[in-house]
Amino acid sequence: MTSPPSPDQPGTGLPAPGKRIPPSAFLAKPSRRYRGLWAALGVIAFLAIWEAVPRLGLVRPVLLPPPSAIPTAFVAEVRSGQWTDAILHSLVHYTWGLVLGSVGGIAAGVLTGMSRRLEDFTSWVVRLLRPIPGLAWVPFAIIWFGVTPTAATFIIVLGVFWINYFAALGAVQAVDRDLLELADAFGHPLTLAKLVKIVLPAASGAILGGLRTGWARPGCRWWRRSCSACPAWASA
Amino acid sequence: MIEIRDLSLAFPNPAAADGRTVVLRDFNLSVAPGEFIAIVGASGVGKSTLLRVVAGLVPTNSGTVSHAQGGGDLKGRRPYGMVFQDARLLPWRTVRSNVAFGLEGLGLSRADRRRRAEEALALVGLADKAGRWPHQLSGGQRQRVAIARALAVDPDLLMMDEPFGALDAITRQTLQDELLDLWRRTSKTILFVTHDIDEAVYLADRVILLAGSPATVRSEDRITTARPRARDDSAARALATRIRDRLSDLMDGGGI
Repeated sequence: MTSPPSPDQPGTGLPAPGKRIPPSAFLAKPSRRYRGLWAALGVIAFLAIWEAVPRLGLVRPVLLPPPSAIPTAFVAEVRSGQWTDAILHSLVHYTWGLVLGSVGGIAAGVLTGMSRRLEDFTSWVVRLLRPIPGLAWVPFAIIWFGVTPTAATFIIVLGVFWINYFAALGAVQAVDRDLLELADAFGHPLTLAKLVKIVLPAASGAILGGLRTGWARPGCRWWRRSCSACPAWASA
Repeated sequence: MIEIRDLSLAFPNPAAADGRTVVLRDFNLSVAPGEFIAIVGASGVGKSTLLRVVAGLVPTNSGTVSHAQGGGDLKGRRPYGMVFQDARLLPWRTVRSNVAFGLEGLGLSRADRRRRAEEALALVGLADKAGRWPHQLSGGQRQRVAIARALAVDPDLLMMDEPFGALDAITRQTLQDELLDLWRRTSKTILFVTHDIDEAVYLADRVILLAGSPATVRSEDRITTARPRARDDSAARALATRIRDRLSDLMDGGGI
Protein backbone atom coordinates (compact mmCIF):
# COMPACT_ATOMS: atom_id res chain seq x y z
CA MET A 1 0.00 0.00 0.00
CA THR A 2 2.55 2.54 -1.11
CA SER A 3 0.41 4.20 -3.72
CA PRO A 4 -1.28 7.46 -2.71
CA PRO A 5 -4.97 7.16 -1.77
CA SER A 6 -7.12 7.23 -4.88
CA PRO A 7 -9.52 10.19 -5.17
CA ASP A 8 -13.22 9.75 -4.66
CA GLN A 9 -15.20 8.58 -7.66
CA PRO A 10 -16.23 11.77 -9.41
CA GLY A 11 -19.87 12.65 -9.42
CA THR A 12 -21.05 9.70 -7.35
CA GLY A 13 -20.12 10.90 -3.89
CA LEU A 14 -18.85 7.40 -3.23
CA PRO A 15 -15.40 6.74 -1.91
CA ALA A 16 -12.97 5.15 -4.35
CA PRO A 17 -12.83 1.35 -4.27
CA GLY A 18 -10.52 0.10 -1.56
CA LYS A 19 -10.67 3.35 0.38
CA ARG A 20 -11.76 2.86 3.96
CA ILE A 21 -14.86 4.62 5.14
CA PRO A 22 -14.22 6.41 8.44
CA PRO A 23 -16.36 4.66 11.07
CA SER A 24 -17.38 7.92 12.74
CA ALA A 25 -19.52 8.82 9.74
CA PHE A 26 -21.94 6.10 10.75
CA LEU A 27 -21.64 6.36 14.50
CA ALA A 28 -22.48 10.07 14.43
CA LYS A 29 -25.91 9.34 12.96
CA PRO A 30 -28.62 9.34 15.64
CA SER A 31 -30.68 6.21 16.02
CA ARG A 32 -33.67 6.12 13.66
CA ARG A 33 -35.98 5.51 16.60
CA TYR A 34 -35.58 9.01 18.07
CA ARG A 35 -35.78 10.98 14.83
CA GLY A 36 -39.57 11.33 14.95
CA LEU A 37 -39.36 12.37 18.57
CA TRP A 38 -36.89 15.15 17.76
CA ALA A 39 -39.13 16.38 14.93
CA ALA A 40 -42.12 16.54 17.31
CA LEU A 41 -40.05 18.35 19.91
CA GLY A 42 -39.15 20.93 17.27
CA VAL A 43 -42.81 21.67 16.58
CA ILE A 44 -43.58 21.88 20.29
CA ALA A 45 -40.72 24.28 20.88
CA PHE A 46 -41.88 26.46 17.99
CA LEU A 47 -45.45 26.59 19.34
CA ALA A 48 -44.16 27.35 22.83
CA ILE A 49 -42.12 30.32 21.60
CA TRP A 50 -45.05 31.54 19.53
CA GLU A 51 -47.35 31.25 22.57
CA ALA A 52 -44.83 33.06 24.75
CA VAL A 53 -44.22 36.06 22.48
CA PRO A 54 -47.72 37.66 22.74
CA ARG A 55 -48.22 36.48 26.35
CA LEU A 56 -45.02 38.13 27.50
CA GLY A 57 -46.22 41.31 25.83
CA LEU A 58 -43.39 41.36 23.25
CA VAL A 59 -45.98 41.75 20.46
CA ARG A 60 -49.56 42.89 20.88
CA PRO A 61 -51.92 39.85 20.74
CA VAL A 62 -54.05 41.62 18.11
CA LEU A 63 -51.14 41.47 15.70
CA LEU A 64 -49.97 38.00 16.67
CA PRO A 65 -52.59 35.93 18.48
CA PRO A 66 -51.16 32.97 20.42
CA PRO A 67 -51.71 29.50 18.89
CA SER A 68 -53.98 28.57 21.79
CA ALA A 69 -56.51 31.08 20.40
CA ILE A 70 -56.74 29.34 17.02
CA PRO A 71 -59.11 26.42 17.83
CA THR A 72 -61.78 28.71 19.31
CA ALA A 73 -61.55 31.13 16.40
CA PHE A 74 -61.66 28.26 13.91
CA VAL A 75 -64.78 26.74 15.47
CA ALA A 76 -66.46 30.14 15.54
CA GLU A 77 -65.70 30.72 11.83
CA VAL A 78 -66.97 27.31 10.84
CA ARG A 79 -70.15 27.83 12.90
CA SER A 80 -70.83 31.18 11.32
CA GLY A 81 -70.49 29.62 7.83
CA GLN A 82 -67.75 32.08 6.86
CA TRP A 83 -65.11 29.44 6.57
CA THR A 84 -67.03 27.08 4.26
CA ASP A 85 -68.11 30.06 2.14
CA ALA A 86 -64.52 31.17 1.70
CA ILE A 87 -63.33 27.67 0.84
CA LEU A 88 -66.13 27.19 -1.67
CA HIS A 89 -65.45 30.51 -3.36
CA SER A 90 -61.77 29.74 -3.57
CA LEU A 91 -62.51 26.31 -5.01
CA VAL A 92 -64.82 27.79 -7.62
CA HIS A 93 -62.34 30.30 -8.99
CA TYR A 94 -59.54 27.80 -8.65
CA THR A 95 -61.52 25.31 -10.77
CA TRP A 96 -62.38 27.95 -13.36
CA GLY A 97 -58.77 29.01 -13.57
CA LEU A 98 -57.63 25.44 -13.94
CA VAL A 99 -60.14 24.62 -16.66
CA LEU A 100 -59.62 27.80 -18.67
CA GLY A 101 -55.86 27.72 -18.32
CA SER A 102 -55.59 24.04 -19.23
CA VAL A 103 -57.93 24.17 -22.23
CA GLY A 104 -56.39 27.40 -23.50
CA GLY A 105 -52.82 26.23 -22.94
CA ILE A 106 -53.33 22.87 -24.61
CA ALA A 107 -55.17 24.38 -27.58
CA ALA A 108 -52.54 27.08 -28.09
CA GLY A 109 -49.69 24.59 -27.63
CA VAL A 110 -51.10 22.05 -30.09
CA LEU A 111 -51.82 24.71 -32.72
CA THR A 112 -48.39 26.26 -32.36
CA GLY A 113 -46.77 22.83 -32.44
CA MET A 114 -48.45 22.00 -35.74
CA SER A 115 -47.47 25.17 -37.55
CA ARG A 116 -43.88 26.28 -37.87
CA ARG A 117 -45.10 29.67 -39.08
CA LEU A 118 -47.30 30.18 -36.04
CA GLU A 119 -44.42 29.15 -33.81
CA ASP A 120 -42.15 31.76 -35.40
CA PHE A 121 -44.92 34.34 -35.23
CA THR A 122 -45.48 33.86 -31.51
CA SER A 123 -41.97 32.97 -30.35
CA TRP A 124 -40.82 36.43 -29.26
CA VAL A 125 -44.10 37.32 -27.65
CA VAL A 126 -43.96 34.06 -25.70
CA ARG A 127 -40.40 34.74 -24.62
CA LEU A 128 -41.49 38.18 -23.46
CA LEU A 129 -44.56 37.13 -21.48
CA ARG A 130 -43.50 33.74 -20.19
CA PRO A 131 -40.90 34.85 -17.61
CA ILE A 132 -43.27 37.29 -15.85
CA PRO A 133 -44.02 35.67 -12.50
CA GLY A 134 -47.61 35.26 -11.43
CA LEU A 135 -47.22 37.65 -8.53
CA ALA A 136 -46.15 40.43 -10.90
CA TRP A 137 -49.52 40.14 -12.65
CA VAL A 138 -51.43 40.79 -9.42
CA PRO A 139 -51.45 44.63 -9.79
CA PHE A 140 -52.73 44.31 -13.37
CA ALA A 141 -55.32 41.78 -12.28
CA ILE A 142 -56.59 44.25 -9.68
CA ILE A 143 -56.57 47.18 -12.14
CA TRP A 144 -58.46 45.19 -14.78
CA PHE A 145 -60.82 43.16 -12.66
CA GLY A 146 -60.78 44.89 -9.26
CA VAL A 147 -60.45 42.92 -6.06
CA THR A 148 -62.72 40.19 -7.33
CA PRO A 149 -62.69 36.43 -7.77
CA THR A 150 -62.18 37.10 -11.50
CA ALA A 151 -58.82 38.65 -10.72
CA ALA A 152 -57.80 35.60 -8.73
CA THR A 153 -59.01 33.34 -11.54
CA PHE A 154 -56.96 35.35 -14.02
CA ILE A 155 -53.77 34.79 -12.03
CA ILE A 156 -54.45 31.06 -11.84
CA VAL A 157 -55.23 30.88 -15.57
CA LEU A 158 -51.85 32.42 -16.40
CA GLY A 159 -49.85 29.96 -14.34
CA VAL A 160 -51.74 26.93 -15.61
CA PHE A 161 -51.73 28.19 -19.18
CA TRP A 162 -47.95 28.27 -19.60
CA ILE A 163 -47.37 24.84 -18.13
CA ASN A 164 -49.93 23.28 -20.46
CA TYR A 165 -48.80 25.38 -23.41
CA PHE A 166 -45.20 24.19 -23.22
CA ALA A 167 -46.14 20.59 -22.46
CA ALA A 168 -48.48 20.45 -25.48
CA LEU A 169 -46.05 22.31 -27.76
CA GLY A 170 -43.20 19.96 -26.89
CA ALA A 171 -45.42 16.89 -27.18
CA VAL A 172 -46.69 17.84 -30.63
CA GLN A 173 -43.24 18.72 -31.91
CA ALA A 174 -41.92 15.38 -30.67
CA VAL A 175 -44.43 13.40 -32.73
CA ASP A 176 -42.58 11.03 -35.05
CA ARG A 177 -42.45 12.58 -38.56
CA ASP A 178 -42.61 9.07 -40.01
CA LEU A 179 -46.11 8.66 -38.58
CA LEU A 180 -47.21 11.87 -40.30
CA GLU A 181 -45.81 10.48 -43.55
CA LEU A 182 -47.78 7.32 -42.87
CA ALA A 183 -50.94 9.41 -42.63
CA ASP A 184 -50.11 11.02 -46.00
CA ALA A 185 -49.46 7.63 -47.59
CA PHE A 186 -52.76 6.20 -46.36
CA GLY A 187 -55.04 8.95 -47.51
CA HIS A 188 -55.08 11.29 -44.52
CA PRO A 189 -53.17 14.32 -45.79
CA LEU A 190 -55.42 16.96 -44.21
CA THR A 191 -54.22 18.68 -41.05
CA LEU A 192 -57.40 17.90 -39.14
CA ALA A 193 -57.17 14.18 -39.94
CA LYS A 194 -53.52 14.14 -38.91
CA LEU A 195 -54.40 15.97 -35.71
CA VAL A 196 -57.08 13.49 -34.73
CA LYS A 197 -55.48 10.28 -35.99
CA ILE A 198 -51.80 10.85 -35.25
CA VAL A 199 -50.85 14.00 -33.36
CA LEU A 200 -53.29 13.93 -30.45
CA PRO A 201 -52.96 10.21 -29.66
CA ALA A 202 -49.17 10.35 -29.98
CA ALA A 203 -48.89 13.48 -27.86
CA SER A 204 -51.59 12.67 -25.32
CA GLY A 205 -49.22 11.19 -22.75
CA ALA A 206 -47.08 14.29 -22.49
CA ILE A 207 -50.13 16.58 -22.69
CA LEU A 208 -51.67 14.75 -19.74
CA GLY A 209 -48.37 15.12 -17.92
CA GLY A 210 -48.62 18.89 -18.34
CA LEU A 211 -52.22 18.82 -17.18
CA ARG A 212 -51.21 17.00 -14.03
CA THR A 213 -48.36 19.41 -13.34
CA GLY A 214 -50.72 22.35 -13.85
CA TRP A 215 -53.27 20.81 -11.54
CA ALA A 216 -50.94 19.68 -8.81
CA ARG A 217 -48.18 22.16 -8.28
CA PRO A 218 -48.61 25.77 -9.30
CA GLY A 219 -52.37 25.46 -9.25
CA CYS A 220 -52.29 24.88 -5.54
CA ARG A 221 -49.65 27.52 -5.15
CA TRP A 222 -51.78 30.14 -6.89
CA TRP A 223 -54.76 29.05 -4.95
CA ARG A 224 -53.03 29.35 -1.61
CA ARG A 225 -51.51 32.62 -2.61
CA SER A 226 -54.79 34.09 -3.67
CA CYS A 227 -56.49 32.83 -0.52
CA SER A 228 -53.90 33.98 1.92
CA ALA A 229 -52.45 37.11 0.33
CA CYS A 230 -55.81 38.70 -0.24
CA PRO A 231 -58.41 37.66 2.31
CA ALA A 232 -60.92 39.95 0.64
CA TRP A 233 -61.03 37.59 -2.37
CA ALA A 234 -61.59 34.59 -0.21
CA SER A 235 -64.51 36.11 1.61
CA ALA A 236 -65.91 38.10 -1.31
CA MET B 1 -50.87 0.85 -66.09
CA ILE B 2 -48.27 3.19 -64.61
CA GLU B 3 -46.23 5.42 -66.83
CA ILE B 4 -43.40 7.45 -65.40
CA ARG B 5 -42.04 9.90 -67.96
CA ASP B 6 -38.83 11.96 -67.77
CA LEU B 7 -39.03 12.24 -64.04
CA SER B 8 -36.48 14.52 -62.40
CA LEU B 9 -36.21 15.44 -58.80
CA ALA B 10 -34.09 17.99 -56.97
CA PHE B 11 -33.91 19.15 -53.39
CA PRO B 12 -33.00 22.66 -52.35
CA ASN B 13 -29.39 22.71 -51.16
CA PRO B 14 -27.92 26.10 -50.23
CA ALA B 15 -24.39 24.65 -50.33
CA ALA B 16 -24.62 23.65 -54.00
CA ALA B 17 -23.62 26.02 -56.81
CA ASP B 18 -27.11 26.30 -58.28
CA GLY B 19 -28.82 26.03 -54.90
CA ARG B 20 -30.14 22.52 -55.39
CA THR B 21 -29.12 18.91 -55.52
CA VAL B 22 -30.48 16.82 -58.34
CA VAL B 23 -31.33 13.40 -56.98
CA LEU B 24 -32.93 11.75 -59.95
CA ARG B 25 -32.76 12.53 -63.66
CA ASP B 26 -34.76 11.42 -66.65
CA PHE B 27 -36.35 8.43 -65.05
CA ASN B 28 -38.69 6.46 -67.27
CA LEU B 29 -40.62 3.38 -66.34
CA SER B 30 -43.76 1.73 -67.51
CA VAL B 31 -45.24 -0.93 -65.35
CA ALA B 32 -47.65 -3.53 -66.64
CA PRO B 33 -50.56 -4.68 -64.47
CA GLY B 34 -49.56 -7.51 -62.20
CA GLU B 35 -45.87 -6.97 -62.74
CA PHE B 36 -43.33 -7.33 -59.92
CA ILE B 37 -40.60 -4.75 -60.35
CA ALA B 38 -37.58 -4.41 -58.13
CA ILE B 39 -35.48 -1.26 -58.01
CA VAL B 40 -31.98 -1.77 -56.64
CA GLY B 41 -29.14 0.59 -55.92
CA ALA B 42 -26.75 1.69 -53.24
CA SER B 43 -28.27 3.35 -50.21
CA GLY B 44 -28.86 7.05 -50.61
CA VAL B 45 -29.21 6.82 -54.38
CA GLY B 46 -32.80 8.01 -54.35
CA LYS B 47 -34.74 4.74 -54.57
CA SER B 48 -36.97 5.56 -51.62
CA THR B 49 -37.48 9.09 -52.88
CA LEU B 50 -38.60 7.66 -56.20
CA LEU B 51 -41.31 5.64 -54.44
CA ARG B 52 -42.45 8.71 -52.57
CA VAL B 53 -42.72 10.64 -55.80
CA VAL B 54 -44.83 7.92 -57.38
CA ALA B 55 -47.02 7.92 -54.26
CA GLY B 56 -47.36 11.69 -54.41
CA LEU B 57 -45.74 12.16 -51.02
CA VAL B 58 -42.96 14.24 -52.56
CA PRO B 59 -43.69 16.72 -55.39
CA THR B 60 -41.82 16.30 -58.67
CA ASN B 61 -39.73 18.97 -60.30
CA SER B 62 -40.44 17.79 -63.81
CA GLY B 63 -41.88 14.80 -65.51
CA THR B 64 -45.13 12.98 -65.07
CA VAL B 65 -46.49 9.98 -63.28
CA SER B 66 -49.69 8.77 -64.82
CA HIS B 67 -51.89 5.95 -63.76
CA ALA B 68 -54.34 4.14 -65.90
CA GLN B 69 -56.39 2.52 -63.21
CA GLY B 70 -56.12 -1.18 -63.68
CA GLY B 71 -58.92 -2.24 -61.41
CA GLY B 72 -61.59 0.16 -62.61
CA ASP B 73 -63.04 2.74 -60.27
CA LEU B 74 -61.57 3.56 -56.91
CA LYS B 75 -64.70 3.42 -54.79
CA GLY B 76 -63.73 2.10 -51.40
CA ARG B 77 -60.12 1.68 -52.54
CA ARG B 78 -56.92 3.64 -52.76
CA PRO B 79 -54.52 3.76 -55.71
CA TYR B 80 -51.50 2.82 -53.58
CA GLY B 81 -50.56 0.77 -50.63
CA MET B 82 -47.25 1.57 -49.03
CA VAL B 83 -45.01 -0.61 -46.88
CA PHE B 84 -42.08 1.09 -45.18
CA GLN B 85 -38.86 -0.38 -43.90
CA ASP B 86 -40.10 -0.03 -40.34
CA ALA B 87 -43.61 -1.33 -39.74
CA ARG B 88 -44.87 2.09 -38.52
CA LEU B 89 -47.79 0.66 -36.61
CA LEU B 90 -49.63 3.06 -34.34
CA PRO B 91 -49.01 1.81 -30.81
CA TRP B 92 -52.36 3.11 -29.52
CA ARG B 93 -54.34 1.05 -32.02
CA THR B 94 -54.95 -2.67 -32.06
CA VAL B 95 -53.64 -4.73 -34.96
CA ARG B 96 -57.09 -4.71 -36.58
CA SER B 97 -57.44 -0.98 -36.18
CA ASN B 98 -53.95 -0.42 -37.59
CA VAL B 99 -54.86 -2.43 -40.68
CA ALA B 100 -58.06 -0.39 -41.05
CA PHE B 101 -56.09 2.89 -40.93
CA GLY B 102 -56.15 3.41 -44.71
CA LEU B 103 -59.81 2.42 -44.95
CA GLU B 104 -60.96 5.37 -42.87
CA GLY B 105 -62.28 8.26 -44.90
CA LEU B 106 -63.35 6.02 -47.80
CA GLY B 107 -67.02 6.15 -46.86
CA LEU B 108 -67.09 2.57 -45.64
CA SER B 109 -69.23 1.44 -42.75
CA ARG B 110 -67.56 0.39 -39.54
CA ALA B 111 -68.55 -3.22 -40.21
CA ASP B 112 -67.07 -3.06 -43.73
CA ARG B 113 -63.81 -1.63 -42.45
CA ARG B 114 -63.59 -4.34 -39.85
CA ARG B 115 -64.33 -7.06 -42.38
CA ARG B 116 -61.77 -5.75 -44.87
CA ALA B 117 -59.13 -5.41 -42.17
CA GLU B 118 -59.71 -8.96 -41.03
CA GLU B 119 -59.59 -10.27 -44.59
CA ALA B 120 -56.26 -8.56 -45.10
CA LEU B 121 -54.97 -9.99 -41.82
CA ALA B 122 -56.07 -13.44 -42.92
CA LEU B 123 -54.06 -12.96 -46.14
CA VAL B 124 -50.87 -12.49 -44.13
CA GLY B 125 -51.77 -15.32 -41.74
CA LEU B 126 -52.46 -13.15 -38.71
CA ALA B 127 -56.24 -13.50 -38.43
CA ASP B 128 -55.88 -14.62 -34.82
CA LYS B 129 -53.85 -11.53 -33.87
CA ALA B 130 -56.52 -8.95 -34.79
CA GLY B 131 -57.18 -7.93 -31.20
CA ARG B 132 -53.54 -7.76 -30.17
CA TRP B 133 -51.45 -4.61 -29.69
CA PRO B 134 -48.38 -3.92 -31.85
CA HIS B 135 -45.98 -4.28 -28.92
CA GLN B 136 -47.17 -7.86 -28.45
CA LEU B 137 -45.94 -8.89 -31.91
CA SER B 138 -42.53 -9.95 -33.18
CA GLY B 139 -40.69 -7.89 -35.77
CA GLY B 140 -41.76 -10.23 -38.58
CA GLN B 141 -45.38 -10.16 -37.45
CA ARG B 142 -45.36 -6.37 -37.31
CA GLN B 143 -44.13 -6.19 -40.86
CA ARG B 144 -46.88 -8.64 -41.90
CA VAL B 145 -49.40 -6.29 -40.29
CA ALA B 146 -47.89 -3.42 -42.27
CA ILE B 147 -48.32 -5.47 -45.46
CA ALA B 148 -51.92 -6.25 -44.48
CA ARG B 149 -52.53 -2.53 -43.93
CA ALA B 150 -51.28 -1.81 -47.45
CA LEU B 151 -53.34 -4.64 -48.96
CA ALA B 152 -56.51 -3.68 -47.07
CA VAL B 153 -57.04 -0.59 -49.24
CA ASP B 154 -57.08 -2.93 -52.27
CA PRO B 155 -54.51 -0.82 -54.12
CA ASP B 156 -53.67 -0.98 -57.80
CA LEU B 157 -50.03 -0.65 -56.87
CA LEU B 158 -48.26 -2.02 -53.84
CA MET B 159 -45.13 -0.06 -53.05
CA MET B 160 -42.55 -1.51 -50.74
CA ASP B 161 -39.57 0.46 -49.47
CA GLU B 162 -36.95 -2.06 -48.30
CA PRO B 163 -39.69 -3.83 -46.38
CA PHE B 164 -37.52 -6.68 -45.14
CA GLY B 165 -34.32 -4.72 -44.59
CA ALA B 166 -34.69 -4.57 -40.83
CA LEU B 167 -35.51 -8.25 -40.33
CA ASP B 168 -33.22 -11.14 -39.49
CA ALA B 169 -32.14 -13.41 -42.35
CA ILE B 170 -34.52 -16.29 -41.55
CA THR B 171 -37.59 -14.09 -41.10
CA ARG B 172 -36.64 -12.20 -44.24
CA GLN B 173 -36.63 -15.40 -46.34
CA THR B 174 -39.97 -16.48 -44.89
CA LEU B 175 -41.55 -13.11 -45.65
CA GLN B 176 -40.10 -13.09 -49.18
CA ASP B 177 -41.84 -16.39 -49.88
CA GLU B 178 -45.04 -15.18 -48.26
CA LEU B 179 -44.93 -12.03 -50.37
CA LEU B 180 -44.60 -14.09 -53.56
CA ASP B 181 -47.54 -16.18 -52.44
CA LEU B 182 -49.61 -13.04 -51.71
CA TRP B 183 -48.66 -11.58 -55.06
CA ARG B 184 -49.79 -14.75 -56.84
CA ARG B 185 -53.10 -14.79 -55.00
CA THR B 186 -53.93 -11.06 -55.21
CA SER B 187 -52.28 -10.36 -58.59
CA LYS B 188 -51.21 -6.92 -57.38
CA THR B 189 -48.64 -4.83 -59.18
CA ILE B 190 -45.60 -4.42 -56.98
CA LEU B 191 -42.85 -1.81 -56.95
CA PHE B 192 -40.21 -3.13 -54.59
CA VAL B 193 -37.20 -1.09 -53.53
CA THR B 194 -34.22 -2.88 -52.03
CA HIS B 195 -30.46 -2.70 -51.78
CA ASP B 196 -30.29 -6.49 -51.63
CA ILE B 197 -29.58 -7.65 -55.19
CA ASP B 198 -30.17 -11.32 -54.38
CA GLU B 199 -33.56 -10.45 -52.95
CA ALA B 200 -34.44 -8.47 -56.08
CA VAL B 201 -33.40 -11.30 -58.39
CA TYR B 202 -35.28 -13.85 -56.32
CA LEU B 203 -38.54 -11.88 -56.22
CA ALA B 204 -38.97 -9.74 -59.29
CA ASP B 205 -39.92 -10.00 -62.95
CA ARG B 206 -37.71 -7.04 -63.73
CA VAL B 207 -34.73 -5.65 -61.86
CA ILE B 208 -33.86 -1.99 -62.42
CA LEU B 209 -30.48 -0.73 -61.31
CA LEU B 210 -30.34 2.90 -60.23
CA ALA B 211 -26.94 4.47 -59.79
CA GLY B 212 -25.03 7.70 -60.06
CA SER B 213 -25.52 11.15 -58.75
CA PRO B 214 -27.99 12.24 -59.93
CA ALA B 215 -29.35 8.74 -60.23
CA THR B 216 -30.28 7.32 -63.59
CA VAL B 217 -31.31 3.86 -64.74
CA ARG B 218 -28.10 1.94 -65.46
CA SER B 219 -29.52 -1.41 -66.37
CA GLU B 220 -32.73 -3.31 -66.62
CA ASP B 221 -32.95 -7.12 -66.54
CA ARG B 222 -35.96 -9.27 -67.13
CA ILE B 223 -36.10 -12.53 -65.25
CA THR B 224 -38.23 -15.18 -66.84
CA THR B 225 -37.50 -18.07 -64.50
CA ALA B 226 -40.78 -19.57 -63.37
CA ARG B 227 -41.75 -19.43 -59.71
CA PRO B 228 -41.22 -20.92 -57.23
CA ARG B 229 -37.58 -20.20 -57.89
CA ALA B 230 -34.73 -21.96 -56.20
CA ARG B 231 -32.64 -19.63 -54.08
CA ASP B 232 -29.47 -21.22 -55.44
CA ASP B 233 -30.64 -21.16 -59.06
CA SER B 234 -27.48 -20.77 -61.16
CA ALA B 235 -28.96 -18.39 -63.73
CA ALA B 236 -30.29 -16.13 -60.99
CA ARG B 237 -26.93 -16.17 -59.23
CA ALA B 238 -25.16 -15.29 -62.46
CA LEU B 239 -27.50 -12.35 -63.00
CA ALA B 240 -27.06 -11.14 -59.41
CA THR B 241 -23.29 -11.25 -59.91
CA ARG B 242 -23.56 -9.31 -63.17
CA ILE B 243 -25.64 -6.60 -61.52
CA ARG B 244 -23.23 -6.41 -58.60
CA ASP B 245 -20.27 -6.10 -61.01
CA ARG B 246 -21.99 -3.30 -62.90
CA LEU B 247 -22.65 -1.49 -59.64
CA SER B 248 -19.06 -1.78 -58.45
CA ASP B 249 -17.74 -0.74 -61.90
CA LEU B 250 -19.92 2.36 -61.70
CA MET B 251 -18.63 3.11 -58.23
CA ASP B 252 -14.99 2.56 -59.25
CA GLY B 253 -15.42 4.55 -62.43
CA GLY B 254 -16.63 7.56 -60.51
CA GLY B 255 -20.12 7.03 -61.81
CA ILE B 256 -21.41 7.54 -58.31
